[in-house]
Amino acid sequence: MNTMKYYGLELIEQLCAEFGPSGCCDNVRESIVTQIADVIDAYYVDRTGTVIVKVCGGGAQYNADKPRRVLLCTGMDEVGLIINRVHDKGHLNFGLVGDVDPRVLGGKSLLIGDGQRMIKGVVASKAIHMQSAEERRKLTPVGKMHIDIGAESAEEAKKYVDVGSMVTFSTPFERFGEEKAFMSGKAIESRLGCAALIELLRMLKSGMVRLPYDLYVAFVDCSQISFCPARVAAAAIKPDLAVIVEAREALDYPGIANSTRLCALGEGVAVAFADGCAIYDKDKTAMLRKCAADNGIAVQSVCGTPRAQLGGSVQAGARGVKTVSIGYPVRNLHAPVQVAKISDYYAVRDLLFAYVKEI
Amino acid sequence: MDLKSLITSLCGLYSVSGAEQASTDGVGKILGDLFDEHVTYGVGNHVFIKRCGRKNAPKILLDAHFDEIGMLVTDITEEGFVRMTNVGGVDTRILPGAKLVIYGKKTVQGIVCAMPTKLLGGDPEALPEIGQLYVDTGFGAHELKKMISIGSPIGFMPTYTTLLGDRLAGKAFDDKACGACIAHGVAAVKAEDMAGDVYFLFSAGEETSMMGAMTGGAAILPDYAMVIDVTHAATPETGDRPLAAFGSGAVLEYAPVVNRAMTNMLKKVMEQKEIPFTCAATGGSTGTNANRLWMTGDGVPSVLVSLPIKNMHSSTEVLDVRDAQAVADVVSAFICDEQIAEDFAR
Repeated sequence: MNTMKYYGLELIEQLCAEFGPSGCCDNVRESIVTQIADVIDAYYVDRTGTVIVKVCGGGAQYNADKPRRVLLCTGMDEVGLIINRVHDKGHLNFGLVGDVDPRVLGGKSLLIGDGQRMIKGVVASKAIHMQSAEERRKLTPVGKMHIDIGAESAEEAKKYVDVGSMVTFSTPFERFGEEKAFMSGKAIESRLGCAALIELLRMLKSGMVRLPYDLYVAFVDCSQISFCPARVAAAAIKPDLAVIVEAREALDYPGIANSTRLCALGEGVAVAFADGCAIYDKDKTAMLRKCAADNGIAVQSVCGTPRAQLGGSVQAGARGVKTVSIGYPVRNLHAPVQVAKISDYYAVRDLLFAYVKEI
Repeated sequence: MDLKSLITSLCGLYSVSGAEQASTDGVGKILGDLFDEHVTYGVGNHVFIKRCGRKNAPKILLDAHFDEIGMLVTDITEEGFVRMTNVGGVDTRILPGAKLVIYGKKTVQGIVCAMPTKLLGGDPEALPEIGQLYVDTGFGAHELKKMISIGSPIGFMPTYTTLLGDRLAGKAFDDKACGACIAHGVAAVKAEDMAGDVYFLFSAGEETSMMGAMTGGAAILPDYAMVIDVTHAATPETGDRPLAAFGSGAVLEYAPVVNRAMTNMLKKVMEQKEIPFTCAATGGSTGTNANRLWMTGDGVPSVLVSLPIKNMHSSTEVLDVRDAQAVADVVSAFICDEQIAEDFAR
């Protein structure tokens, strides 16, 4: 097992590289625990696979008899595919895991396995020469797509994979663009949140910060397919305040009006007022924005109503707890190459550090 | 260099049709030592010559095309995104979410935006047209325009993956992998064993106009020729089309434009040498440089050999290195065959 500690962008790179489609997150869990083991008071893995971390409060404001509880929550799993048939000729059929747009699949490189034993594959695409005019315009149904791992027979394929084997994209983490200010790769959508929370925990430890409440951090599995594990975690912790750290879809492509782009890369922390299943607490959100302003951290408002994420489930699980959302803008959400801006990541991390001290 | 490394290093070169000369140094560095001469012609042809050492020896031409399909920049938006059009038959279905390289004064990495359906007309089954796609570069327009411009070629990211067995996935096996087979096959024989001087025409522009084979053939005026290109391997989607099985070796093609007598002779040679192969037949156009080469100059008797690959014209074409080795073995046999030289030398 790799017990090296990673920091900053190397931490993000390391986390993004871990194989962790929904329900198959052992490697991610192990990696997170390795990174934070020496800066936390306790942790456990609940029965849905969520890593729940505790940092005990202290100091004059801390009520040791009846401590307040704050929950920070993020997803750790990534979208992917699951093998549902191994053909006689060695190719594999699959289903989608999470909200993958099947139009991004053709020709992409993949990792297949269970996290321990991994092989590589590609999504086959019938050569353009043999596509009919209609096929060129219309999406091939997912059930008719297949993965090529190079196997010639089911027997050869089954030495490495079987029905139930899981799949992720294999796009490596890379920095690109002007002054290499952007990052791209698979799994950025969930691992940026994990990295920010890992770094937050370290900053609290190294700054010897004693919070006036017990801090809980939940790294949730299966967040790409269901928000329920977050509900389970919230119900177990029963926090007095919940902060959701999550990716916000950035539709800041050319020609998209500001009113529909949701948020944009490079404009800082994306603060949502509501999404498809939660309305965030007005006062706590105002406090969050003030905290950002006081600390010179860029924030942007999420325009429009983004898709539902973890917030609603956390609220439901913790009997309507006040909840705020701290988002990092990500382009090409759920795609093989997701894009985020490094400055937005640091804005999220630094705002978290400033905010937890003020709560 | 072993055949697999030769394939990945040649196919990894950038050579979108029309920009074949951008990789002159690259191809020279990889192949220079295997040949006596490297000549570059106006249209972008690269010719590598290996001489047999005898005077007035026949000229044997081996053709594979150097160019690859790709894209061109058509617009740079205010926000620093790039729009593009295709060069040759690009499979646009594989573009959303793909990584690209834009070749300008500097090379710039690009990521094709995977925009959600709601921004692309709303029909979840409709595929975006290439003109609807944006390439994210991470640069502002001002900086970007210093490095690339309208017309800059765009290629797929050269990354190669080894699958199970000796199978490789990556870009541009069409057709530089066949160039690798030629170089490997030529390097495997001694100059004095060759039946003539070998001209390896790594030709330009096959994906767009086949101009390279036409002009290269006319410049060299060979006695006879072998064209090598990729062909479709059978896959689960190709049903009962008569396509070569992946891993079954080289494909020897029958077609009106190829020389039947020479093809029959080569078939016997391959059988004698136990080179794995299957035969295929095309009634009309072969879709290869063989269509052009046979009618250049005073006519060039040609054979056509193919390398079966999957997912042609995508960023993840797949080949079997054993098939490539079979093609390389055909090359070695062909250039050393005295009978073919005797029958087809002018």
